[in-house]
Amino acid sequence: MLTRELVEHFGGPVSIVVGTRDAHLRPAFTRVFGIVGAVGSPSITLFAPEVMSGRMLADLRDNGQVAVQVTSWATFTSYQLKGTVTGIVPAGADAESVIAHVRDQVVAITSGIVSERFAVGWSKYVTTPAVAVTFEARDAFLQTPGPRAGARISG
Amino acid sequence: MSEEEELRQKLARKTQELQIVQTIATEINAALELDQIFDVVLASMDNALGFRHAMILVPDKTGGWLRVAASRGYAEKGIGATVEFGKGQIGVVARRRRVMRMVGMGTQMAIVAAARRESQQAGHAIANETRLPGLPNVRSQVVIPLVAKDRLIGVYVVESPEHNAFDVLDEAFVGIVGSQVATAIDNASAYAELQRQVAERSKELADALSKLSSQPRPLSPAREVDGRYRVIRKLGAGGMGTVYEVERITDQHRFALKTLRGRTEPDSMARFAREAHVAAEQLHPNLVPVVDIGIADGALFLVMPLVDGGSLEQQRSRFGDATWARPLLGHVAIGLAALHERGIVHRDLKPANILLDRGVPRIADFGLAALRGVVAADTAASGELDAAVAATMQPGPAGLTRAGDIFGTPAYMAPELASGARDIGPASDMFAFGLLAYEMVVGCTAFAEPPVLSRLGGREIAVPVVAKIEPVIARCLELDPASRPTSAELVGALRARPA
Amino acid sequence: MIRDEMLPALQGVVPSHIATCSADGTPNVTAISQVYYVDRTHVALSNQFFSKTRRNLDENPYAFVQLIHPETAHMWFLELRFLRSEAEGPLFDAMDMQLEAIASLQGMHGVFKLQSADLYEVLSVREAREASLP
Repeated sequence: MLTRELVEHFGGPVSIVVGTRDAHLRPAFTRVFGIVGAVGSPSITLFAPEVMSGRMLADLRDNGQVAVQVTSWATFTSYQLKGTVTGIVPAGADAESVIAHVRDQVVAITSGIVSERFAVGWSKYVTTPAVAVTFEARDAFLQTPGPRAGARISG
Repeated sequence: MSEEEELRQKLARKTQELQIVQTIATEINAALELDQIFDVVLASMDNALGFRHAMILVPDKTGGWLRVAASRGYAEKGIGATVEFGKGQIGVVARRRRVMRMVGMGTQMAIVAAARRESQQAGHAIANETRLPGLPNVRSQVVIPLVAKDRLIGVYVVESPEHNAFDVLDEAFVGIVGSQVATAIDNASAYAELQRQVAERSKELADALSKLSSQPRPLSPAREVDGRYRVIRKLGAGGMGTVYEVERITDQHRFALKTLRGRTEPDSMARFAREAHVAAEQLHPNLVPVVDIGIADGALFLVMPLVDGGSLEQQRSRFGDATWARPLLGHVAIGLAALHERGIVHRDLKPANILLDRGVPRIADFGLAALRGVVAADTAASGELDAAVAATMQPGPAGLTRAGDIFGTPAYMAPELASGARDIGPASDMFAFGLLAYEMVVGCTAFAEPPVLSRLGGREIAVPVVAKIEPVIARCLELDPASRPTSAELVGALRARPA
Repeated sequence: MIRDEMLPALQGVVPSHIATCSADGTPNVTAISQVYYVDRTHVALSNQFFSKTRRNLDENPYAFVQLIHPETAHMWFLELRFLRSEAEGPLFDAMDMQLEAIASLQGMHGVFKLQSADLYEVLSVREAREASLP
C-alpha cells in the first residue's frame, strides 16, 4: 500500500496532524511528531506525545477512525491517509530517534522560512513520553494545493 | 462595563474623531504643494488620531510600481522604495482599489514569510530584506487606496505595534481622509503641469495681444474655438466677459470658457491676460482654477472647470441659516487667504463670484485682480502686462478708476473704494467678506445702504447690529481698513471657534 | 473568546489546520491558509480547495481548528460550528484580497482562488499549554 515516495516523505521535515472524532461525530485535532511505515504495507505507526493525546486516544478507542495529514516543510507536498486503528501501545525507544530526526529537520528549516524564534518554539514541544498508534491505511490522497489535490495515491 | 456601555463610549469617541478628521480634511485642502499635502496628512493623522507610523506611496509613470513618497514614524524613511503593482498587500490594494485591514500580525510578516518560501522553493538564497519602511513588530495595519476621478492616485498605509489597533470605524475615517488626500494630490499634480504650460504660453500671449484688432464675435452653439473647444451654450455675461459652456473636442469633457465682452482696448486685454496668468498660478481647492488660456478669432479666452453647483447668489434662499453658512465661509476665508498670500486683491468678492463645486466654495472671477506692489519677474512679457494693468488702475477725477467703470459691485464694496484710495488692498476684500458673511449668517444686509454709496453721497454709515455674528466677522465690517483682521487672522479665528 | 495574543496566528504565516467529520463517521484533516478574524466569537475560513471539508460541514457542522503562533509556535485549539458560506460581500472581498496578497508573492495566482468565505461561531478556545516546555 505505501509507496516509496510516501515512506521517504515520512522521513523528511514533516508536520504531522491527526483528525479523529468522538461518539457524537464531534471532530478533534492532535499534532504528533513521528510517522513510520514500510513500502508495500498498509500499516502505519504514529508517535504521539502522551501529554497531548488524551482526546485522540479516547476517540480512537471509541471508534478507531483516523485521518492523518503529513506535510513537508521543505516542499509543501502534503498527503492525507485515512484508516482504522489497529493498536495503541506505549512507544518504544525507537520512537525517540524517529521523533528527534524529524524535529531536528523541522527546526532547521523553519528557522529559515518562518523565523528563528518559531523554530525555538517548535523545539520546545513535549514529544515524549509518546504513544505508538498503529493504523491500517485504506486510502491515501495527494493533498498539496493545486490541480491534482484530492487525487488518490495507488500503491 | 457592559458591552452596551462600552459600545456607547466607543461611538462617542469615534464621533469626536470624525470631527477631527473633518478638520484634517480642511487642512489638507489648504496645502498647495504635493510634498506639503503628504506631510500635512501624515502629521495631522498622527496628531489627531495617534497614527504614528504611516506612509504614502504613489504610482510611477509606467503604472507598474508604487513608490514611497512620504513616511512618518519609521527608523528608515524608505523614500523611493518600491512595491510592484498587484503584489503583496499594498500592490493588491492598489490593483483592487479596496481597503485592506489587518488586525493580527499584519500582512508584512505573512508577506515576508511567503517571499521566503518562494525564494526557498526557487532555490534562491533566503532573503530577509524588507524594502519598504515598516515596523519590525507590526501587529495591525490598514492599507487604503487613494482614488480621485476614477484614477489611482496612491496608497496610504497606517501601522501599529498593537493588536487590533484599527477597527472598522478607523478604517472608515482613514477612508474619508483618503478621498480628500487623493483629490488634493490629483489637483496639485495636474496644476503643477498647468502652471508650467501657462508660464510657457505667457510669452505667446503677449505677442498675440499686439495682433488683436476687431471686436470678437459672439460665440454661437456648435462654433469651434481655437480648434480645441466646441461651444455648447452661453451660460451668462458679467464682469469683463461672457461665459460659455464648451466641450473639449478631444475627449468631450465639459468646461466653462470665458471671453472678453466685446472690448478691444489694449488695457482690457492686458488686464484679462493678467487675470489668466494670475488665476492659472493659483492652485487651490477654494479658488476656481484656469485649465487653459488662448486667443481665437480676435478674442482672448480662459477655460475653467465647469462648476455646475451654481454660485452662492443662487443660494440666497438659504441665507440666514448659520449652520449651513459657517462651513462655507470657512472655505471662502481660506481661498481669500490664498489670494492675499500671493499679493492679490480680489476687489469683487460677492456671492455671484463664489461658485459651489460639489458643495465646496471656490472663488472665481479675478477680473479685477491687481498685483499689490509685486511685479512678476518671470518673463519680460509679464512685465509688459503688469505695466498695462497698472496704467489702468490710476484713480480718475471721479474717484473711480475709469469713467463709466465701477470696479466692483457697490453692494459689496468697502467704503474706502469711494475715495479712490491708491493703496486699496486686502482690507477691502475683508470688508466684502464681512458683508457676505453677515448676509449668509444673519439673513439680511449688514447696512441699510451700501457703505460705498453712503460715503460717495456724504451720508453717515450706520453701525450694523453685530450680536449674532462672530467677533472676527464683526471686525471685518470696521470702516477703518486698519482695524479689520487679515485673511490669515480670519482663517485662524474661524477654525478656533467651537463646532 | 479570541484574545489579542492569538491574532498573529490567524495571519496564515504558518498554516492552521481543520478537522471535520462526515455523517458516516470518517474524520478529515487539512490545512487552511488563514483563519480570518471576524470578531471575538466568530471566524471565517477560506474555502479554496478542500471540497471534502465542505461536504463534511454540510453533513455535520462541527469543526476543530488548530492555530500556531508564528513567533512562539504556541498552539490554540478552537471548537467551531459552521454557520454559512458567503460567495460575495465584504467578508468575502476582504478574505479574497488577503489571499491574493500572499499568493501574489508565491506566484500562485489562480491556485488560491477563493470559492467562498465560510463563517463559523467559536464554541470554545483552549491554549495547549501542556504541549510545550516553558
